[in-house]
Amino acid sequence: MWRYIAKRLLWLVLVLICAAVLIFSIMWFVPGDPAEMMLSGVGTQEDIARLREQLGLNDPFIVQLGNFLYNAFVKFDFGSSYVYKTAVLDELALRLPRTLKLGIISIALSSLIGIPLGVNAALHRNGFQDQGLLVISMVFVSVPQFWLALEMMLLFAVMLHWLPVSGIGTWKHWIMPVIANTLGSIAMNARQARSAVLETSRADFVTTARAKGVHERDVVWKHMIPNAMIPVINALGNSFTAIITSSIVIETVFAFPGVGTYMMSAVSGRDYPVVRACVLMLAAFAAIVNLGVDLIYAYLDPRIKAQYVAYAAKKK
Amino acid sequence: MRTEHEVSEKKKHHGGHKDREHGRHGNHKEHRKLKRESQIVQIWKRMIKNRVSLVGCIMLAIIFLLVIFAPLLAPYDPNYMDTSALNAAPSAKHLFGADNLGRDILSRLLWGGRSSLLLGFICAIFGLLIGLFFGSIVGYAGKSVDMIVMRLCDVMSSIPGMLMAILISTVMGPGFFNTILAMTVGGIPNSIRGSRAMALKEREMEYLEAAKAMNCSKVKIIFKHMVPNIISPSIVGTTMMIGNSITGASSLSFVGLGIQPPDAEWGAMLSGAKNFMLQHPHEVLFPGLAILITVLATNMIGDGLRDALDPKLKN
Repeated sequence: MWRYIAKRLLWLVLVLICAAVLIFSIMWFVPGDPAEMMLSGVGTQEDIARLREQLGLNDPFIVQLGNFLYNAFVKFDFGSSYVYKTAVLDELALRLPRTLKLGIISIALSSLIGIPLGVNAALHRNGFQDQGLLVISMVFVSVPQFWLALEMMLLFAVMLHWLPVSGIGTWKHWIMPVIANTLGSIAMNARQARSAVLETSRADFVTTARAKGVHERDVVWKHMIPNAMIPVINALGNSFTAIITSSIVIETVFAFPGVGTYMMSAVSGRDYPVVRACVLMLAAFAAIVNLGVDLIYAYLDPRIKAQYVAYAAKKK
Repeated sequence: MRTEHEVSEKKKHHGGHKDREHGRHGNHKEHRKLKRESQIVQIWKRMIKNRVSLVGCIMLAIIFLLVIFAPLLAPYDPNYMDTSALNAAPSAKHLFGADNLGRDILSRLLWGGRSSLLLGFICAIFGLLIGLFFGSIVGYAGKSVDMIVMRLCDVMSSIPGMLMAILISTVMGPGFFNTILAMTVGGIPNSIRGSRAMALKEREMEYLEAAKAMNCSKVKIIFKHMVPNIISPSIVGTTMMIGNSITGASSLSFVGLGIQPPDAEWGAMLSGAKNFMLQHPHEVLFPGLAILITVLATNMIGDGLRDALDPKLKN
């Protein structure tokens, strides 16, 4: 098992380095000269040339790429923002915890609410819980979250004055971004949990358990649900990624000072170092969470563990 | 599983007939057509039986008609600015009101639906085609090809789809085709993975072995025998993708990438309207509802299709 974890960690680092190369290469093709933009109106042609030299923009692609990788992965330095002139890492250190907190609260809420709802629906198949869940979750899976955020803002902040419109400060500022982020994934989790429980309810071991006279309550809680949770847990990694990406847009709606707003303002300002660092950071956290989920999954599902052990044995 | 088997069984039959087609036609051709139709009709009937997907189909059909006949149905030109109706509330004259430049929101919704729907469908279909092409080759080839392509997919999917789309549309700039490119690239790894998984399952089937034994070329085996059999399960994923692409493209437009004003697109309309939202809430209500209803319709169809293709899930 430890070898498996070590292998996965190594692979994670490799993937992230490749992702950094990809991000850098894509950003390389952005039209427009950042030096010119930074000094537009104030600098002379010579100033611009000097700045280009200073920023290393005259270096060939491969040198710039090498510098970027070296700084990002060895020195953990993402350069400084072209627009604000501050170190990107300082800003990220301030903003990343907020975005992650938003993501973690959202994923926790959505699994704590969504999974029980889905299990409940599956256990009362075709009952009102089931039908109601199917209809409501279908709507919430389909609703564009940024629009939901806008409408919530209108209703709760502007019309009812219950919650602050935007920004950050008290816990009240967190309510709307969390809800906007969570509703869609509650619906997703509920649907997933429902179909997973329905799937296991047809499994042979459930029939066997019933046939040997296990109490129905034990069939459900000891045989069906633990097995049904395995694919549901596996899907949590994906829903964390979905939440992180949807929070980019939602943050801009609520002017929530997280990585999303930072990144989107950098996108419109063509602030390459900021965009690169934000994308890389979000990708890294999504990858780490997915790895964690995979490991939990491997730990929980003896079949996968056995598969790896067998594979390792064959290799020796 | 059973349906998939049935499909392959039929296709196998169909493949056999095809080779003899040059010699004898008529009867066989008709026979084949009948059988093939019955499969589609069967799925269609099962889908229609499901109330949810029936409603979804009707909703989507209505939306399509509305959007196709936008020139006839729209009361105004989508870019006509009525200076006497700046930010007008919904009324008999402007059914859904007018925006900050006095443009009729209903007309803009109808015209804008064209780009939103087109974006959604084109991205999903591109995703399906690219996924089928690479996924089936990779799945059939296996070994090192599979390894390399899947590792590349790992790298690509380490940047979440929406982030990738934002990156690419930053680089490419706004516009219809750039948005399609951005949305499609973000979805590639997932669609390749999906098709590959199905190709791996299909590779072990007997009819492929039979084709190989008959000295069929690899290209023919993959694209003529294998791909038709993995299309139908892929269709479900594609239907779900349509909804995702519509939401994704509209969020791109919403944050100022993607499609930009004055072009009418639902996300772009929301992006423009959010600045006047506090005084004129109707301007954000209707475009959002349009997205919601369209995505809801496609998701309902996708759900029904999945049940129709996999009856095991239903009971």
